Amino acid sequence: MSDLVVDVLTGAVRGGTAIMFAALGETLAERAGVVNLGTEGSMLVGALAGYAVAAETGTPWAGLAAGLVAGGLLALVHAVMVVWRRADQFATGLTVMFLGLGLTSLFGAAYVGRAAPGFDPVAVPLLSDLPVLGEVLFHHDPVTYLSFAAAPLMWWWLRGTRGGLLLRTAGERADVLHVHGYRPGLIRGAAVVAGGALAGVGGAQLATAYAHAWFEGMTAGRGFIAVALVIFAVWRPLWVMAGSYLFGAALALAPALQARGLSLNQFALDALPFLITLAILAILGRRTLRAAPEELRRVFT
Amino acid sequence: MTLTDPRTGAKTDIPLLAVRGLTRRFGEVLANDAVDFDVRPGEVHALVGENGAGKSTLLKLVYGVHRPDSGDISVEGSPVTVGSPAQARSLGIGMVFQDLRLVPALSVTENIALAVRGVKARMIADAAAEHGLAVDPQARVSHLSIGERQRAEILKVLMTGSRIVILDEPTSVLAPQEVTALFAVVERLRATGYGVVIVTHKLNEVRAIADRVTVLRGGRVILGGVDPGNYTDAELVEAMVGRAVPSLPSERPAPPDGAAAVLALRGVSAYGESGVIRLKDVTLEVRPGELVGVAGVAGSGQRELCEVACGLRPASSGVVTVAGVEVTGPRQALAGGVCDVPEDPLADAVVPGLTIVEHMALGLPKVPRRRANVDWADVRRITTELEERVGLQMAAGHRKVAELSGGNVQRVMLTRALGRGDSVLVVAAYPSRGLDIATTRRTQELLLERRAAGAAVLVVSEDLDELISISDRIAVMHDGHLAGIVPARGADRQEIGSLMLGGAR
Ligand SMILES: Nc1ncnc2c1ncn2[C@@H]1O[C@H](COP(=O)(O)OP(=O)(O)O)[C@@H](O)[C@H]1O
Ligand SMILES: [Mg+2]
Repeated sequence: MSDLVVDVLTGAVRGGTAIMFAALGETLAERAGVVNLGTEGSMLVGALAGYAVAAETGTPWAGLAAGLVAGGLLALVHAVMVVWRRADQFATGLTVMFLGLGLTSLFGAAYVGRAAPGFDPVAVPLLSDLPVLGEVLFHHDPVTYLSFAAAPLMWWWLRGTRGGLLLRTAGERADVLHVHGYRPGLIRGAAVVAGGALAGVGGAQLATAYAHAWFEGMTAGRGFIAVALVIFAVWRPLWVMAGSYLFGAALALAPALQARGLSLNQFALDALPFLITLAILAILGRRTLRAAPEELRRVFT
Repeated sequence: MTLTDPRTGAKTDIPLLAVRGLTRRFGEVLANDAVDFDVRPGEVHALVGENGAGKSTLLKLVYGVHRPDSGDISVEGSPVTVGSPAQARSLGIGMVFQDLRLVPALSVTENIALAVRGVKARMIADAAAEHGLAVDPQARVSHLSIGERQRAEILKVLMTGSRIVILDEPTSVLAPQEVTALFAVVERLRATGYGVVIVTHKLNEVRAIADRVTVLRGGRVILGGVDPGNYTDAELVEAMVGRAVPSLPSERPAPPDGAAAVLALRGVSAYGESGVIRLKDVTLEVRPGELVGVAGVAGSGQRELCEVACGLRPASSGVVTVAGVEVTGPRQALAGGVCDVPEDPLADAVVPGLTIVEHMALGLPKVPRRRANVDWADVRRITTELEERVGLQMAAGHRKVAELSGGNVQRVMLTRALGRGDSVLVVAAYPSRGLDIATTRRTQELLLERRAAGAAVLVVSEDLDELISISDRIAVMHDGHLAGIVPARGADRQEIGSLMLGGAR
């Protein structure tokens, strides 16, 4: 039984990492006052770019960088539309998501079934020998180790730095920035692009470290889970981290049970992450909206 | 720059800020018409005038929010052009806007850091102590009272190095005690050589704080930088309004004795917005033809009292009756002929996206219809009729409420509530908030008219003078309790003040 727990926890970290990158990216955008439903698209282009570049160059790190750029570029479309053209955020975000889906199925066909070098798990010396924790946290790929620092870094950056302050102000009262001679549009745009880049990294991690493959639509709604996650993590990076692992655990439960010969209904298990999302949103109810950045609340209402 | 000439002790004559012939049009409106204005170091210059006189426009021209069509601005004797607020700040001009511009979700320190690079909580605490501004630098702005927010904003302006501090209607949002605290800060700024411009509607404030006063009306300077000591109240009011404003009749027939109360609260308690008890065991009656004023420090239960009377908030214990019928919801209250002027219309009673005429339709007891549709022509006719009867000059009927200033929204609320001739109970929370002298007077007359017509009237106000001049009795609230009821005639302010603060009678 404790074996099952370790398996699920390890799987939580493995499967939650991509979601965490995407959700941290969405956190940046939303803290600046922009909802980006295109996150799923950024993950997809990040996954394909990451896999393809890893395949062509032979180094997964180049793939990771490509995922970052691709995710950021797709988010740039969203940024230009909603920040400078003031288009509707929801409609634009969904369209951008489908754009990502379309682009990746067009250019991705060649990479389906093709092998590419990826990130392999590296046991951290000493730490990996710890009981339970060693197994759960320190037998992962290098990108996952990077992700451990991402949420605390973002927490610190938002809270403690000038850039973080400007970004938060853009999400709360953009007018105030204007009065102080800043350009809120630029700050928001940058946040959306940076957020997309993070989602792209998440996608690349998914393809090159988790699945070691590319196939069409491989993100399977993780980008949307990320959007929901940001809301119920009340826009806080550290809660986002915890939430991502919760989803990772939900994803890991099915294989862990199957490996033990317990066959539950496959469809029910696939639906589990979404059921969890709904349950949490229902429990939190209006409470989440009250914690929302002000400019964002204006988008929702 | 020297504050005073060391030999003679006289104030120097070079103004910190001077404008000449400033003109600015908004479409058809000449908001500022060749305005001259100046501020010297170590003085407080009051800028007064009715709503729409052009005060905010003048300040926004100086602060670089708008560009003048013509005219010159100079700072310490040298001509400047002010292209943006950032530039104004670099010239030493700081402005505290009417609607405070702090970000609620950020701390005081973070807000100030937006304007002053690299500022630390320590430096803010030091500056706060230096200027006598009590603010906690670590506190989140959303947790601060309006008075504290204002102090934080003033601090921000001072920390950007401003020598000229412009305050646009700073007292209109403050309780009386907070006004006293604000004026202490302003005194200190004056004493340390700052030039302060303060906008207000209230003459007693001009007298309390200003060295000079400029009166604007219709965009033009009526009195330019004069010593208020040389003018009587009536003269200043006439300069502002453009005609003499007679004082309210002080003799009024007493409310009829022995009539059954229209509004009766018996041992009523109620929860506030945040789920704590805000109204505690209040028993109060308002009879027909009687006007009861409600005094109290802001947040002492006045809001809950009004809402309970209008059926907008359930009583957690006790009974509320209007004309003998128990009130259990807004429907009963409306049917009983209650009309209500809400405390914060923007938050509670208006739909920002709807027009004035649409708001009037919402408030009508029976909406005129033509077959299945609302008969908008008829609603417009009724609106005009109400407006004429009430005489509060609303903005054009097709304007959306979201576009109106606070004073103009208030006019819509008042016209809607007081235009109804058949109500037996009028509940008005801060009816004159944000209104200028002429409109305030008209509002008070309207409330007294409803009283004279036999309605019971309940008025909440933070202005004791107003309450004393229009009420029959004054109910003083403290921490949700009714601390006492005193007759308005010959009321003793000291007594009311100590009741407000919870002292015994
Ligand atoms: N941005 C604007 N656009 C159009 N009209 C304006 C604008 N600002 C002010 N006005 C008009 O200019 C006049 C003066 O307004 P304002 O300076 O705000 O008056 P005050 O502050 O004295 O109440 C009013 O008639 C107002 O409607
Ligand atoms: Mg104004």
